[in-house]
Amino acid sequence: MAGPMIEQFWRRRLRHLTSFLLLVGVGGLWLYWQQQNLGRTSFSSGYVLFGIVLTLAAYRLRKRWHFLRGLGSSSAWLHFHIYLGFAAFGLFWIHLGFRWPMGTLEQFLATVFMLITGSGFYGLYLTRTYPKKLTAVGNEVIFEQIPIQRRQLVRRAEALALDSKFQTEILIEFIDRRLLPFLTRGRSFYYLLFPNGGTRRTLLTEVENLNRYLASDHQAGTVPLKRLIQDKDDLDFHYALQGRLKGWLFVHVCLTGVLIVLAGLHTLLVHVFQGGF
Amino acid sequence: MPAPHNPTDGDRRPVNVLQNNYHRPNFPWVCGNASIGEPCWTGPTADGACGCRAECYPVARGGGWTCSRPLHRGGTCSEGPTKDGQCCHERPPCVPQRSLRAQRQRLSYAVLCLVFGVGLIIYGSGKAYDVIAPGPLSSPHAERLAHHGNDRCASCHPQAHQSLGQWVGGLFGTASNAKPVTQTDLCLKCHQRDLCHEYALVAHNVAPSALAELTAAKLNPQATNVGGAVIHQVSGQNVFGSTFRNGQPIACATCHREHHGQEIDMKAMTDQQCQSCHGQNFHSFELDHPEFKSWPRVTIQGIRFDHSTHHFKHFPHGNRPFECAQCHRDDRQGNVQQLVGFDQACGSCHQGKLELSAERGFALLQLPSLDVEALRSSQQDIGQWPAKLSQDFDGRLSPLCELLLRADRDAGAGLDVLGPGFDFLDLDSTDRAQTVAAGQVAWGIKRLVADLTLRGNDAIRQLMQIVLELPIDDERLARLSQNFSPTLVRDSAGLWFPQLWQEVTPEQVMPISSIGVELQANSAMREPDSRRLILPNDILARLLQSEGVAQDERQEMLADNPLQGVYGSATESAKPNQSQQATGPTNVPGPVSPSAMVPATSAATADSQRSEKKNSDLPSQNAAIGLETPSVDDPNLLARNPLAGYGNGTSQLSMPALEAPRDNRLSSNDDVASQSATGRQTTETPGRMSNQNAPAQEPSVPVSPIPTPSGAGQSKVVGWIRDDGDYSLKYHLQGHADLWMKEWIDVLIERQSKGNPQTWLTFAIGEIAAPDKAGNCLLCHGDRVRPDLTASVNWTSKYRDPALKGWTKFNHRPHTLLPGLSDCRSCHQLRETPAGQGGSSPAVANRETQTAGNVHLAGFSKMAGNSADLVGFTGLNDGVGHRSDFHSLTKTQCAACHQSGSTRSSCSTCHNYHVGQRVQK
Repeated sequence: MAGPMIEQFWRRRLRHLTSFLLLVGVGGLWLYWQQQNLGRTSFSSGYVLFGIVLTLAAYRLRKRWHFLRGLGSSSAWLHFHIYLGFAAFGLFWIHLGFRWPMGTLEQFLATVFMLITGSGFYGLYLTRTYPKKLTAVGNEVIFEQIPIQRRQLVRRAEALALDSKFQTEILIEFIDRRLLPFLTRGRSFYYLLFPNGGTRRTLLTEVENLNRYLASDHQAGTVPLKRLIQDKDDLDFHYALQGRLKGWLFVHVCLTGVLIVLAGLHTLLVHVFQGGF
Repeated sequence: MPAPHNPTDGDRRPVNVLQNNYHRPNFPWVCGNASIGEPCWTGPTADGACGCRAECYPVARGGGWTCSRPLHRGGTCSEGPTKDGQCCHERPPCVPQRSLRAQRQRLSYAVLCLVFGVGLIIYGSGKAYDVIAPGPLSSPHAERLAHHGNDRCASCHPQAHQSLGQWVGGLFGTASNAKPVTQTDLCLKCHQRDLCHEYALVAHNVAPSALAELTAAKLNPQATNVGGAVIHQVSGQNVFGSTFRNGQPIACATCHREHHGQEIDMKAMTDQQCQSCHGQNFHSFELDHPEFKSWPRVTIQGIRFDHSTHHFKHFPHGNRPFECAQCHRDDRQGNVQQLVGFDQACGSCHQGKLELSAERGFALLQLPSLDVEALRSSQQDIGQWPAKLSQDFDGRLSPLCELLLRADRDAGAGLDVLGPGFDFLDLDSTDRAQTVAAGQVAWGIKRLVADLTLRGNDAIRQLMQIVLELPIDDERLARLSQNFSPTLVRDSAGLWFPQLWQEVTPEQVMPISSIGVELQANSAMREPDSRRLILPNDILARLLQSEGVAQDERQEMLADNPLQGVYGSATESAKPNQSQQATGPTNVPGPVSPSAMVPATSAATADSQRSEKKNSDLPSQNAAIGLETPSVDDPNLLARNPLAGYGNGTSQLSMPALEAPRDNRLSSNDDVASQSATGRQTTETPGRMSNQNAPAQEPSVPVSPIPTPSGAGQSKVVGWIRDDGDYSLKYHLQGHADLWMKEWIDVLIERQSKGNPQTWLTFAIGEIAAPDKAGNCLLCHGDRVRPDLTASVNWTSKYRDPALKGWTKFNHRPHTLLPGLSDCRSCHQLRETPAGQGGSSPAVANRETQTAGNVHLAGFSKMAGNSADLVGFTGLNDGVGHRSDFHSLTKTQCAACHQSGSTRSSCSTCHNYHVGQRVQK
């Protein structure tokens, strides 16, 4: 079953890539032809770029408005969105003449475009790499339910503390002093930026060290503690990575409106102030 | 298992309650307790209120209320709802939070509002143009517009003053139908001096027809000397409306892109831009640029200098080194090799020859020797002619005299028969046509002398205008006449033609002149026999009368006439009728009209006899009117000269030579034309009378000490001189850079370049300026074509017209800084002419070619039929037909340095785009 699916995936990618390269080639030849004839490629490339931006922004409408599903699946739109994004990035630099603009408005417009494009590339990277990392953690977690699961872990820890098998002072003290704060508090900003297993390893080491002070019949009680620490750390890992998966959209989506408005203003101005006849 | 909920039965629960506990991220609100891991099971309402204030939302059923708590929340409670339908298990309300999607949306709106807000602030602050400007201006434009404030945008963008609505309307074509002012129009408003305005927006600023001719010439396989590349016959068209087809206007902004910063050179062009139109594309200069066929392009040099002969013959003969730097200097821009002046470069060898030529003088008037008896026997009575010149036919007319005589209808006809430069020695007395022509010329000379006597410079002006069909303004007249005084001619007339005023009446002087017409009209009212001696005051009186001057005032003015007392009293002159009565209307001998001489032989003989009788009676007649008849042989003539007070009263008038300061000398490397026309004050030599002793007759012509040419310290005669030895009025030239000679050559060549050149005009130019003639000017001075298509002589060494941009450009300075190229001869290698082999250098060959047929005007004559479109780029000044003294450069010499990746080798390094004539600043 997996074999045919992979084959279908590559066929689709090859088909899309071929179409994309074909369109890019045709567009490039068109611009080259204009340039060879002293044409103002900045106008043609600008109009095409503006059209691409509008098309890219329409993906959001497709996702929001279900009546547009006749225009293709959201997955197809996403593929189209990605390829067009790459084309827009190349066309953007052609439009600028591979030179950063010098005007205030144009610099702002270019900055917005680059922020959107950069966040798009970042999002593409995240969506292509993070799912594998999250899958490697082993359990599927919904981002919005992470607080609930975190709460459940706290309750599990509280239940362990009340369990008669763990009625040792050492374990109770560890749960109260080390485990519950770990379970209830969020992770540092540094961890959200660079998720790591440092705290997890530290706590597990501490739990392991408790065995030296526990009687042999109580040592089995450290196992659920280790499990709680691992689950909480996995949840935090999910939270950090899925937070990024959702966070880049704040830049990518929120600036789209500004980009369209500024691009429209830019189009108006260049037509009004164009130097030709 | 509870029964499925029916939403139509008045259930008030939120929608997600009807589903399950699954979180809906597309919902705008989430439970406020979700962040602590304990969200309610209902979630917030659609408007963001807490939707879970109780465990359930009771359902009305069967007239009462039933608990609806779902199973995953514990199922139906035992207590059940209250009587009013409320859940009995209330919960503390939460503060719902927005979902991530809702937060993104709000942030989007916030950013958009922020941008709008900032935009409004900028718009209100008046800095909008600073913000929307796509970048800083280039330095030249920035400097020019630095003080324009917010109006600086409107200096180049006509829409800058329009409103936003007009901008949007303009996009959709709702603007005014009137032809809008374009940015290109505003560009040309400032740059109109830089371009040929007519073709400013055409490719290369060249007329399409001319460009097509060049392309055709390039495509012609027979073409050997046509540079440049082929132009596309059909170019592309921008899909957005900008056309670039041949002949279509090209906006300035097509190539010159502004707002790219101060450091950007807007004039810099890429090879791709050049080759977008040129069909013959080159990858690089060193690889596939065509080999030079003739570069540096041979131009008609400002100074025709034969480098080869001087280098290989003259300088070695004088045992002097031939160094380029002796004559060539770097100018400030280093664009051309500027020449030093004549004195420094040429004077040491050529000054003497020029002075000899100048001392011979150039005749404005020179009487030929005519066999009066032979003419009379051929029924051509020319009246009184100087005895010394009446024995046989000999001599020639001076070219200027011949030129002025052509304004006289009869004399012009005679000159046409005799031909230009006719030597009277060759006159066949048996040829009636020639004898008649000689008679016409003789009478024309007399009328010319009379006209010059009466009107002086005005006569010269009018005669020149008639002959050359050119306007002669006062400044030019001043330069042409150089203080020429009627007094000098009057004295000459008195000496050479004592009976002039009996033979020639003012009516016959210049019938086509206004004076002549006026006098003719008046003379028609007189009796046929009332011919008498018309004095200058008579003419002046008639002029004043015709101009409506009152009689009293007229008499007062006539009394002030400086000529009174010379030919008669003012009173007598002012009262012609009284004078006429006193002398007797029939006793005054009248002149013999040339036209009256032409009829039958008997009549001519009778007229001739009558003329002789009248002439013999002239002294007594003149005495009767108080006029002394001058005679060449009269020893007291000069003593009665009214100018005698300025000299010693004898024929040997002399004045000490005025030695002009050296600074006033006319330097040959100065622009001769820039010098103001100044009067000449000369010294006299024995036997010659100069007008310099006469009081100024032309107050408009300034008189200043004349500078003596090279050789200061020596007495030198410069100016008008009457030579009674050969009966001529001559102008003695200053030497090199004589203004009088320059102006005469200029005016003649200007007429020549107007088209339809006459043989006599070409002859006159040749006689004046040809290398072997008196002027000797065109030996060295080449020709050039002015913007108005008139030709002129290159009087200066700056033969390159700064207003004329050609296809190629070159800057010597960066090249000569290189050690290997510091010697001019590293690039400019002379064509060697082996001595003793009879070969002539290219310059000599050019000169020989041009002097063949005494034309020497190859450049002037060939341009007459060309259109204005071709000026500046088809080689009118390119010396077509000339050979350079130097070998042409090869591409290899340039490509040794100019290679891709090392030294600039782009198209624009050596080629200009904007060519043609610019308006002189």
